[in-house]
Amino acid sequence: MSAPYRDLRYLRLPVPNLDAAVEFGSDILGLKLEDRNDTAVYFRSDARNHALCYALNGAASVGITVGERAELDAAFERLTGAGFAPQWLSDEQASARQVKTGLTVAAPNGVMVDVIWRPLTSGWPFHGPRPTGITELQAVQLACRDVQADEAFWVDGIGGTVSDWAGQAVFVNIDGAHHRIALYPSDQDGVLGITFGVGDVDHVMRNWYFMQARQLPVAHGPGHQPTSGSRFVSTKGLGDILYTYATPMEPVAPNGPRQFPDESLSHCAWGSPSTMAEFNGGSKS
Amino acid sequence: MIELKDVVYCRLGTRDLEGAEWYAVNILGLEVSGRRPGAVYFKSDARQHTLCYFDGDPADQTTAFEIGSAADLNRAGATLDGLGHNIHYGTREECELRHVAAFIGFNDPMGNRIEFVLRPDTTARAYHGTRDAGITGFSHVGLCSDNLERDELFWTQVCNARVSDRIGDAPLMRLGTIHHSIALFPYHKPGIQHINHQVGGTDDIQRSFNFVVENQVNVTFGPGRHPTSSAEFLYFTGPEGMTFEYSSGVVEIHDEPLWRNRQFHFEPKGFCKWGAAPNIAAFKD
Repeated sequence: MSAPYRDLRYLRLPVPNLDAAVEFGSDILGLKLEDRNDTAVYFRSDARNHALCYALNGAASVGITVGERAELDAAFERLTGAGFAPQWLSDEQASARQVKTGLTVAAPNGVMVDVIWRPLTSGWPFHGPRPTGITELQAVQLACRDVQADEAFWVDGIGGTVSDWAGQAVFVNIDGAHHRIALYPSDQDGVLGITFGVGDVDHVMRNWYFMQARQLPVAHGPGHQPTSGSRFVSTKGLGDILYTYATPMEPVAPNGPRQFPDESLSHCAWGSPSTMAEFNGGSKS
Repeated sequence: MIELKDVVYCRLGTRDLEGAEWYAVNILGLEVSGRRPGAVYFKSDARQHTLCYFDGDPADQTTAFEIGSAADLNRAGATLDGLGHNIHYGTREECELRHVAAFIGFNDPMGNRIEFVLRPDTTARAYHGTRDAGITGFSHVGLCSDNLERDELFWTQVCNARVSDRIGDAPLMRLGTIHHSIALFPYHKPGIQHINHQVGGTDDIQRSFNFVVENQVNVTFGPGRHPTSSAEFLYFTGPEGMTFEYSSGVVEIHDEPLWRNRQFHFEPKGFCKWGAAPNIAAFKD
């Protein structure tokens, strides 16, 4: 089955202070500061010209890429048909996102989703300031007060498919990988976290010891996500979201989505504790 | 040259046999394989037993190694006798208590109690632990030494051990193809410094880490990964202060002539390449 999108492209997150964002992105996360202007800083994690953008203005948004111009029109129609209200990006908005053009639409949890065409790629290799092992932008997690509404948005409006459920949490496949978007029932709406892929479990564990050495709050892990098969560790950081380092995911289960029980072991098969209610099971949604 | 095949079992005295059995079964994950008055035997693999706790002085600790033939055992006895070691030839009853055909007991130059045994019992019954620790077998011991150079010479010149790597002056030595079956670590008193069981993989190490922490067992080192053997590890404290280790992924040395032993730092970075620091006396200056 061909996937509807090329990739998960970026997370754009509003922050109050760009200097603090530069320091956090480089010094803590180990990303490469690629571009900076008066209103935003752009960080690279791979060949994408940016994977994480901290901006002074606007709402949080998640970028997903289509391969052809015609697919933008098709996405606009599908979203409108499913009852959502997409708008074309202005030239200024497109330029701020480092894309040729695209549309933006509000998901039920308030996060904007940018469906974009021709995002900027850098011809230079990614080389971060410390050996994090980061290989790519892997996933974005979203917190949802009404997770069923967001599942409907991502499936009917965006055209993703569900790979697995853990309790009411939904793992959405948009580009063929197990998930690029994960929706978690929560008592808040918004961005829950961003995951950077790392080479192997050595990198996960080294980043865990780095977090401890820097006294960063470890919010979840080191752990093993039984749905995707990824090993991970998460810290809470700038913008009050989770930042996760995780090993590559396993392929989507061949016989369709699986339902994992609504318990913490469905979020970490190693039994690591989490400070986040989203990963402890027992949600009512 | 005394030809040793492998490490076989440890015998540990305890003032609290019931408590030691509880720990071995419920925390360590071994299986009770036999009982004698004042002694409990535990299996971790196909061997009849690889650990025995008995009523006695906790300082009474013995490590046994297998020797290939009765002729070799007699030659070993003569060699050790010639070097001035006080040799004890096991009586029929002592052999039965150890499930071996014959053995000699002596103190190594440090005063560590050692037994060289002939034909230790193997069973057809598979090891099946009470808890799912993922143990694949007893694998190596660390022995205490207050003169590492002297004791390395005993194990490598009188016996057939080969140095695979050194951490400071502490040698990790192999008897077969496994990177190390005996290691020596600096400590002022004789005794077993740690007892290692291999587990199936990363998942087992990490699950056990959360399991032992939840059970208020003191983790002394890890989870981490040794730069020497490349094994992932977890060290934690057992009855009478004994250090137990789980590890997985130890390298095997199949090309004897090509292997070059390497010198590592006697510092946390020589013991762990993820960033863990040991809280184990014999691993610290």
